[in-house]
Amino acid sequence: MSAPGTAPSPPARVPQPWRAMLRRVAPDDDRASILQDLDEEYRQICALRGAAAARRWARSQVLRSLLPLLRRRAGGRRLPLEPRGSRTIALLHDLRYALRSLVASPAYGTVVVLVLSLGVGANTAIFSLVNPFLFRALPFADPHRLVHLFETDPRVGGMGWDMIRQSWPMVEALREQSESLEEVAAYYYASDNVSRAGAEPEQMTVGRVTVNLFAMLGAKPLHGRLFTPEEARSGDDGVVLVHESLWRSRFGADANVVGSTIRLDGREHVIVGVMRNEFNFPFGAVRMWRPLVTDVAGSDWDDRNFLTVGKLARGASIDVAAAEVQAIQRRLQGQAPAAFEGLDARVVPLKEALIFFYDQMQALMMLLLAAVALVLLIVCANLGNLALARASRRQREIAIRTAVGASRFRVLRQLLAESGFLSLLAAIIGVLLASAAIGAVASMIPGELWRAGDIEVDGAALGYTLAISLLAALAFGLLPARQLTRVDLTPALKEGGASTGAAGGRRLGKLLVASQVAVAATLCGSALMMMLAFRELRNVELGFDPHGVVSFDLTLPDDSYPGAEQVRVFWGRLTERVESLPGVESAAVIDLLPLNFAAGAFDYAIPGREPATDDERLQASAHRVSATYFDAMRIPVLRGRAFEPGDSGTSDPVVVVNRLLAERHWPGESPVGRTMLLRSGDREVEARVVGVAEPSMGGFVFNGFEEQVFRPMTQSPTRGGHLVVRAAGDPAALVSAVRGAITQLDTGLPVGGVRTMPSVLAESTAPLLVASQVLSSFGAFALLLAALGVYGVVAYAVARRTHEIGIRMALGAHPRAVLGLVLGSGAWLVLSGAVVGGLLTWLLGVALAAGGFGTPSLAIPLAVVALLALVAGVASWLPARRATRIDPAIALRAE
Amino acid sequence: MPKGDHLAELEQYVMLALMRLGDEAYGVTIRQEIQERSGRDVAIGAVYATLGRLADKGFAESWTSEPEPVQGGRSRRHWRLTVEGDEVLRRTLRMLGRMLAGLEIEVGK
Repeated sequence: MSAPGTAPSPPARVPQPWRAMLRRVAPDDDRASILQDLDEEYRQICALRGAAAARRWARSQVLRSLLPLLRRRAGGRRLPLEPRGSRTIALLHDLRYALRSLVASPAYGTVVVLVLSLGVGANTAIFSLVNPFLFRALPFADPHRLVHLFETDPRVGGMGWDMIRQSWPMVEALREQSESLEEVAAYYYASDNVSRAGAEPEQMTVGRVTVNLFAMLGAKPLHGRLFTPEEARSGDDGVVLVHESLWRSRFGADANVVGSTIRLDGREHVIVGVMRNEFNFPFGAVRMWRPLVTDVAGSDWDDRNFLTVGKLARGASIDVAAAEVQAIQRRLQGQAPAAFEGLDARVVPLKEALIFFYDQMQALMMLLLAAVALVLLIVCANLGNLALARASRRQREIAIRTAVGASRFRVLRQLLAESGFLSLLAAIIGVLLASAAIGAVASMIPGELWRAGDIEVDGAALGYTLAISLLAALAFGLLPARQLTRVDLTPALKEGGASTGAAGGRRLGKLLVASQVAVAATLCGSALMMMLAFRELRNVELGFDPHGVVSFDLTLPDDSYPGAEQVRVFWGRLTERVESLPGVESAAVIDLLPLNFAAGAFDYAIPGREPATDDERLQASAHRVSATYFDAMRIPVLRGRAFEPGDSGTSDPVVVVNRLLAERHWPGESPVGRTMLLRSGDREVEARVVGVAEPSMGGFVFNGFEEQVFRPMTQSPTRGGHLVVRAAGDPAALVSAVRGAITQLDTGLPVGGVRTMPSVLAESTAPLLVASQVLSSFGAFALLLAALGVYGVVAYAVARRTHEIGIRMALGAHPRAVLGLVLGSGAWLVLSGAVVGGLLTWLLGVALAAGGFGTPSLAIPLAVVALLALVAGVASWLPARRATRIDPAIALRAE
Repeated sequence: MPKGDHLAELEQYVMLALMRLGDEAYGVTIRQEIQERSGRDVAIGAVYATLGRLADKGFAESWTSEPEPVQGGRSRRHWRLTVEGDEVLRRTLRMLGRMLAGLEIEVGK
């Protein structure tokens, strides 16, 4: 209120700092109104209650207005690009927007999903393949406490199998004396003839286990019960456990199987229980178990039949257990010095022991995992490049959005929503692809290999898939994000469109492509190496001719063939009969089939020649063969003769050695007529050398040729053997005739494992085959991606510089000059990528050679560099060529 | 009624005030109306935030009045219900009425 005649005082206003606060917080379009209203009420209250009250009121109003106004500001603008309301709605909005922009450019979305699903799928597949071997825990109770015990012979060098089985007295000693092992169990496995009512007799691998094994492993039966301690006594052991898979396939999942009987090796056995599917011991092929009879297990320290497993006591470590076992061994040397001479003890985690060739398997699996991860890397690089290209096209759109208030964070979230959605889609498709691939690959892996559970896409694999696809989404989603949200808005908003800020992107893009090329080169190189190694192995000189030979597995049961004489007679009659069949060139018997993952060994000594050093233990791989063996397998006999009918059970022991052994001990002279001492346990046989044969491959193709000693089947008969038959024509045609001959001699004798030798060879190299096939497909995929990458980069460069090219051509530039311009520095980068890849390949070859795998050569790396250069050349030539065809007129008009 | 159309409590109060005040409805009058009738001392910022939300939903709109016929007088920003807003408010009140029907609650003054 002012006195009349004076200038009116300015109307009262809400004082600072409250006014400033409100200014700051109010939304732009409401700012003026809010302040106006506040001032108006402020004046009213000033008039009614005085300035002090008014000030207090104003302060309260402003403070209580802060939160609602801030929320209003954050929660939503009234711009159509921004959603209103809560955070979940914002996320859904992002997703919808992502979908819309993807639908607008379907080519991009399709390519990303396709390529990424291949990359993710491959990773999932390999992970699922590797999981049962590397990562998954054993399906037993307390798996980390389960161990396998071995005695080892440190003198066996190279790749020899230095782990020895144990004798029963040793097992008992371990049980009684060991404190670090709270439980000790033993087992072995053998081929038994199984027959039941109404079914053909067959041969099966049956495990013999001490009755405490199942409890130690924490295994519970699906039906029925486990063995009781009484059943470990001979006579009371007529019981058997069957595996669930067997129960389903052979017994039709009949609930009444428990209590029924089957014949094993001529004796009736009662089925007392069915073991669950997950239970697997000691390897997949063993699907029946009998109790190990302990009262007649023997007291012979040298009768080494048993494999021992144990459970560590709580708190005991493997090293402690190993030390203890060694100590026990040394104590026992007093009782049986010869048995333990020079031997060592080893305790390994159960998983490592059960998986054949664990170290090599592990290395192979790691290699596969690394390779496939590299593939994913390339995929992400490729996608990143695509994303970059796409992003530079969207710079204008994003600039506008940023200008009207979308925060950088919102833009990032938008990009991640896009890439996340695509990744999720790719993950789903990838999992489906992986499941299909796994089915195919798993069937190639031999069932003998132990693994923890099935090879399948399980929960762990799905988790792995999700993790890597999220990582991929982050990688290629964020790649352009950094660049986009930094962009200075003005140039992007200008009519000229986006080319600023793209310089960094271009460099990054080129780098990505170069690294793609390098990785692709390395993958191709390793694939090539693996393929060559595999081919080498397949074509390796076997020392015998496998083509046209078919083999049959036979095991003569104790009851029908109680003594050596019966066994001898059977084999003799069998070979006679089979050789007389039409179409049969020759037939023979051998105890252990070559390339069949089984081998035996003799110790030997040459009388009069003591070994040079005490450490040197003379060992040769041992074979018992019938007289016609060398003939049937076409193994050349270089000196002397093969076995003859005269070499019978009653005549002097004779042997045939191979050339390696002969050259070692009798270089330059003929060993025929010399004697050798063969040692097996504490038995020693003096035998005369009657012939020298060319070396032939033993049980493992990876081992190469070893010294061999052959004994005639007549002098050292075995119940388990393989009949090998060489056919004049097609071996498959003979099979039924041979079976007939066998049945004629013994109707109840089951015939197992009928295979041709070439397929035996194939099976022995199966893991390497799988690996090389997988690596080759990776290499091809990587090559394709690298080519696409190069193509993309060059095509993009051409598109971007169309204007410039048009100008140059209008000014008379030669097409070839234009070509050179486009390819320019990019070519150098690609070439250097190829060279780097070639170098890596060479290094890999050297490393493998050091591990005894192939020889290092320059050929493969050079080939790889040439291949990549060629592919990259074609991939860049195609779009570059288009550049020269540009009509200058159109180009100049284009933008 | 679609989910988005349910009114929060303050929104109801503001809309009722708009209905009552008609042409006179602007920031100060709306706030004072609510304070005097319900006793709820609402901050001016909360009123504006609510008006903004209502506008987003299409239930209210603003219009500018002629400048005051005094020296330095400004035009003011007024608010009113839209047709939809009116609809929604009535629907809400009907719902409340149905909930109340037959209930004998002594609500006092």
